[in-house]
Amino acid sequence: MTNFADKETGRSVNQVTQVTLREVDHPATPADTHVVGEVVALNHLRAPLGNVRVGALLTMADTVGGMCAGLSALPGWVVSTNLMLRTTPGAHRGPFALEARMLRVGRKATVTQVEIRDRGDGDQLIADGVLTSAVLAPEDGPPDFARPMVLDTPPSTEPPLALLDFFGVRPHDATAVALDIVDRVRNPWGILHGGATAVLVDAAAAHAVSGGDATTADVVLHFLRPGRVGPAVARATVLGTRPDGHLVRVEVVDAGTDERVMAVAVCTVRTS
Amino acid sequence: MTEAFAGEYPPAQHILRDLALTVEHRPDGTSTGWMPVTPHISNPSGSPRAGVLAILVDVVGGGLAAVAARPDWIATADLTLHLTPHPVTVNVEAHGRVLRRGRTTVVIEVALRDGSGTSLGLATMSFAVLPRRAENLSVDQVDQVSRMTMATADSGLVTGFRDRVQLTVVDAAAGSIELPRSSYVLNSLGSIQGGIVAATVDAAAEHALNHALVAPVETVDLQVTYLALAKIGPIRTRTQVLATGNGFGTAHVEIVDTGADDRLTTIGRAVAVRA
Repeated sequence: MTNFADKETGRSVNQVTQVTLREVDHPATPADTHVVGEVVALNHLRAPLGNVRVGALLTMADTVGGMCAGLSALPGWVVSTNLMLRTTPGAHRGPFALEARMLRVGRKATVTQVEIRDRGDGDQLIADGVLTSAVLAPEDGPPDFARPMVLDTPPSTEPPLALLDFFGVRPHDATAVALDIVDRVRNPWGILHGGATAVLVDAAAAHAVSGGDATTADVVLHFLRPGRVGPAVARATVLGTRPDGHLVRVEVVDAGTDERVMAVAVCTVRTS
Repeated sequence: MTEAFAGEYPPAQHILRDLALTVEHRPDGTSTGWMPVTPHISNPSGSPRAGVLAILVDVVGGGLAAVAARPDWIATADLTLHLTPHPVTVNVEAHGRVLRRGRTTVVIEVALRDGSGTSLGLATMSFAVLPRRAENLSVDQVDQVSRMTMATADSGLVTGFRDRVQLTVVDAAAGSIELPRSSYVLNSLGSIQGGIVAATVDAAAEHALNHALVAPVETVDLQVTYLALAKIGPIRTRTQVLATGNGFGTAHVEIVDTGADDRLTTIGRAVAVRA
């Protein structure tokens, strides 16, 4: 099921990342589309070492990058196909400033550059990457945003759940973690949200490297097929170790759809 | 049986022939490529250069994607390479498989191993699916195992890879590298071959991070996004060191086509570690 008419549908994931988005002016051409965002509340997104989990950073990058790509693709809309993010693990003071600009706008695909900076730490660049998206024609038409687009966080009277609790990430076995594909982790297309896949990949990569101080740093994530039934199971394999960390391959399958491979990622996981 | 690669591409004088690549395509949708390892393509530590491995990956992945996309054609969207480097003396094997063939994209994964079967790392490639044009190479039905080599009787590198492809250092500390658009490094569409572009990112990042870390480094990670074809040249890199850590560093590299008003053709990220 898709529902782009209601712009809040499929944005439940934003209840946990709480990204506000704003389009910078009305773009002269689709290639000039420029979206910025902000995330103020970070404590529920932190790992035990104090850094904001890379799963949350990937979700933020997918959110701001996907919106920028989608606006550039109107009257079409986009699905993420590939997200590459380099991050700098650290204390992460916050708030975070998000920024997305178009590198390429094609008929079938778009490429978006994404940056996340720590305003509380002198605007230090803490994550940068590239989001590639496929352009599709939504059955019910694209989201109906006034331009320039402004999108606040959904109203909530309760404190946000911790990141892994929100997504329901749980250990599956010694090398895998899993989550159920319930409504609140679906995107506007009705399939598992890219951010949920990213959080699962991050959790699996860190789970595979022994020790509680494992922190995912860099991720290349290919979204291959939609997750529809679930549970989504992410299994990690450590490929080797280098001075910058452990190299880990993660494969995510939809266990309810004959173990169909939904995503493949290669991550660098650091231990202190 | 290994047959010589026939057809008009690559020409007799070409980097793919001098690297002596051999590729086997199988009807199950997998391919394997082999590349002999010599000091001309290796880092001082003895591990193969990331940029040269990217060329092998591009050939194996591109061939697989072209078959998977039939009757359509493909354009490389991105290439990532993640290495666990160690000295290699005989050859490198690249085993590729199709992760996805969709309406708009093909995604390939390539596992790299040395001659003894020890993992050297993993690569991924994404391709956009495009309507076939008359100038695209024909791709035959693969219904049996076919093995072809690009080596000829008189091919082979007799000097370092970077010198042979004319990767020229403009400013080492700034990671500024230039590469002319010569027939030796072109792809079948007449633009600079995707693996060579990745090798340019590798060289630029390595020079900049050598300077930033004040130590010799070698690239272990490459993420390359292709935005536009480099049609005129020479291409030139603009490099920014993003971070340096305990024995490693990360750099962002942009490649512009200086002959086309500095059009941005490629962006890349590289991680290099102390050799």
